[in-house]
Amino acid sequence: MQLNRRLILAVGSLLATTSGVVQAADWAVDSSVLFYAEKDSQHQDRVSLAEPVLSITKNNAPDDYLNVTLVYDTLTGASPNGAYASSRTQTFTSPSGGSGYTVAPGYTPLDPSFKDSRTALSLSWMTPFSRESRYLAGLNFSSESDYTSLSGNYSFLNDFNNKQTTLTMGLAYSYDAINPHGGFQTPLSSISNNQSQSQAQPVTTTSASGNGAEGGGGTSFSLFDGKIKTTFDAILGVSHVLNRYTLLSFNYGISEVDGYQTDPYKIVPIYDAGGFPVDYVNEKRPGSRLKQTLKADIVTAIGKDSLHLSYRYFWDDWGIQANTYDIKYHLRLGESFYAEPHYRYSHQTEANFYVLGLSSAQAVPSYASSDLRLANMVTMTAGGMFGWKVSSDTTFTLNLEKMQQSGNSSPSSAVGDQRKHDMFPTVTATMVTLGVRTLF
Amino acid sequence: MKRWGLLGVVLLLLNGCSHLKPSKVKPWERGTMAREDMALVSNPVQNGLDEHIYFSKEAASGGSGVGGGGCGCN
Repeated sequence: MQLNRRLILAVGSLLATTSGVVQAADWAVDSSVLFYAEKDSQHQDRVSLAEPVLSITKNNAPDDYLNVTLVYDTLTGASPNGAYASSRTQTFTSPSGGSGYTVAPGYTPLDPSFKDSRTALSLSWMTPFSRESRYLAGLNFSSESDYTSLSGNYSFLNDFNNKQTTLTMGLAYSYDAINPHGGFQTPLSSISNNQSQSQAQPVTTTSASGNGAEGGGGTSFSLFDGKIKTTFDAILGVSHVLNRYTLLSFNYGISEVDGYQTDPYKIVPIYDAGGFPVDYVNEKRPGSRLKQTLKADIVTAIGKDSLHLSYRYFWDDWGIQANTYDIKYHLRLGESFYAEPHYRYSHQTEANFYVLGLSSAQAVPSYASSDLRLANMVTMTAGGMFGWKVSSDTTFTLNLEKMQQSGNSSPSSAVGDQRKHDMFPTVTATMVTLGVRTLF
Repeated sequence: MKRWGLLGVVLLLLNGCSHLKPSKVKPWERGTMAREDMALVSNPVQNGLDEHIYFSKEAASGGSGVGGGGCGCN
């Protein structure tokens, strides 16, 4: 993921390299803060987040730079635990190590103890090999109380066709450690058997395959204790300056993820013939996942404005396919202001092990998850950015967006009591970002 | 299908305006391309924040990525 983003930034730099019109400033400092808050159609407040970002770039030349980015985010609120709304009161012990909680009839159960903070540091640099070629490399580290990630990426870029075409080949590898609050629980076993945090044993580090014993878990002693997930990314991309006004870009990406990919805080309801939950088990996901993407971008100038169109097709061996469309229009308003209306639409199909719940009469499958993020779902985002160029070296931005996620509220697999309730409450998120960019 | 139709109309309009006709572009003809708003990612920080949210809330990811390394949010 990081690799793909860096690739696009790298391709973008091609233009400035060849234009000879814009002389990059020596230093660029971008600072932003994002505020994010969710509410669902049952009027339940969900997760809220504040995320400040500081990004500093030292430009030696358009394709010779060093960037350092620091991100801190803090999340609080309530997150769906995987269970669905019922006509009966539901009581849960918290897998995240907190005290239990009770959910009133008719409401989708949310774990109210969701709270974490994340610090991420990224370093990336681009260096030219020759007039036509350059490389881009990066190192990334992030840390949460229950998750640590270390990754690196390297891309080689070569220009052809009098610098109208650029070919990019890139690789990335990440090594992540998961160490959940409350320890690892036995997958697909009743949550009533879960060990509490105080009873948990010190965690055992497993191999990179991450498919060792699923029990145990608990106290973290170092950043990379816990179960491991590794990701290997490769990307092949081509960008082409089609004419004086239009840039095209096509990327193919492939990603192999191995190791622990189960969400340790999600559960799967076990229901009786009437559709009432009678028990809950810990979810379990496969230990490997192969993801692929095809992405096309077009950027074209329309007078002093510009239009950005993007399409991405995603598929993986969990049975998920997604089509994502993105459109943005940069509207220049005089010399000092601009507006950027933005719309994004994404539809995904469900994972082949996604279930609303498991019938108590059926055999337990190899894998099962009731995480709505793996369900058939549509995400729509609409909003836009407003920019004010105060001077030649300072720009303020305000980005306002609404995101809505909706799915099948009445799936055909629902039985009995499940048909009386909303099995997928629509979630609406409000996002506000304030930013300032300064050039020195 | 509606979305494809809309995209098709946009592309046809662009084509009518010669925006999709290939041509040789000399280095001194790339002034428009050098504008900040013409970059594939014109605001990397905002793009990173957006992609982090999508990665946290959807099963699909990649293609344009997230900023600042990994995340246990999905």
